[in-house]
Amino acid sequence: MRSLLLKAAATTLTLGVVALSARYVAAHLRNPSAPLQPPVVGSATPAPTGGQGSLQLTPAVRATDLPPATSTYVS
Amino acid sequence: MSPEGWRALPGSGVERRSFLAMGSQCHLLGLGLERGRLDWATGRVVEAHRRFSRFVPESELSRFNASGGKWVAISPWLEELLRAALEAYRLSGGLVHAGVLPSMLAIGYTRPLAEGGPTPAAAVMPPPVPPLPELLQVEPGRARLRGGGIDLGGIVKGWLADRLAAVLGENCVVNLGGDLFARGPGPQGEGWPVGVGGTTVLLRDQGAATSGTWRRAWGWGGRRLHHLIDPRTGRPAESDLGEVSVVAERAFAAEVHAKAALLLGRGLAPAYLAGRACAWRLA
Repeated sequence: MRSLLLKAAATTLTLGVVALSARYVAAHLRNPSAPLQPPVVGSATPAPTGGQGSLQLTPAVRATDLPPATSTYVS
Repeated sequence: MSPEGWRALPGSGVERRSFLAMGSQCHLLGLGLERGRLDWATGRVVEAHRRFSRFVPESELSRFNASGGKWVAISPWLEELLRAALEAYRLSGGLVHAGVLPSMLAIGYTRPLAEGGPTPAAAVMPPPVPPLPELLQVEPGRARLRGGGIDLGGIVKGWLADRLAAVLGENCVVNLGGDLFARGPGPQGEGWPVGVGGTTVLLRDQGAATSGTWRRAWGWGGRRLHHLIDPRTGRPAESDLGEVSVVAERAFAAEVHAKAALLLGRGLAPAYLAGRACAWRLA
């Protein structure tokens, strides 16, 4: 009888924890648009211009329409 | 327009020399240079290859790598370059590591790829590389290598481009295998027009470099191998970037930061380069 009571109590406790956890999770959905934690430290460098795969320029470098005299490349 | 196209521009007056050295195509450009200066600089590049290539058995670097852990006398050139290797390690937070030679040998990069290609890769890869300051000690006139081996191929071109441009002339570009330094106002007074990832930018007293994994790459045993070793793993880098170009205040810094950014990957590279680079391109 005592062992049966213990089993019932354990089962009840387990089911209770599962139910409470599910309720907590459902009430605290992760916001996918929330910023990463910890936040990325901002840079003192001015924001570069350009898109993915394009050249990111800071004010220290200026683009030109002149033909290149030479180029940087993988060697 | 190609460099040849530039040379054809009327009145540019740019002297130009192109040649193969350090396993790469090199270009020297200048305006108002002293007579014979391009020949002199070409000779210095060839000499640097003979001194610092691990592929040349009698090079000073090869002798140093074979020194068996003893303190050995080194030339001022090698001393400066070994100090630069330690500086590259520091600047990159340990990512640009000249002590990865055992890993390069293990993947079969035992000879210039233009001279017969890689040799069979080892079945067991070496472990991650210890910190460079633990392997390499440099003092005035002497140095000691405590295990492993040094490969200077990752930094020597940018380092030499800075040094050569400083003495070649007041208005010149030294481009060694794509790692370059542009000194002076260029042909039109606004800087030297330099191609970086398909865009032309004006560089004045600035360096540029590109690092990538698609050249010096080969397949072995179903694996894709390349020469850019990640010291954190001792294996070819597994990055989601294939090529990184960087403009910085020196060619040496551009070369170091391009390699480090490539190892960091697309997620971390922009934060790393912000504040370190004047311009960059991730591809």
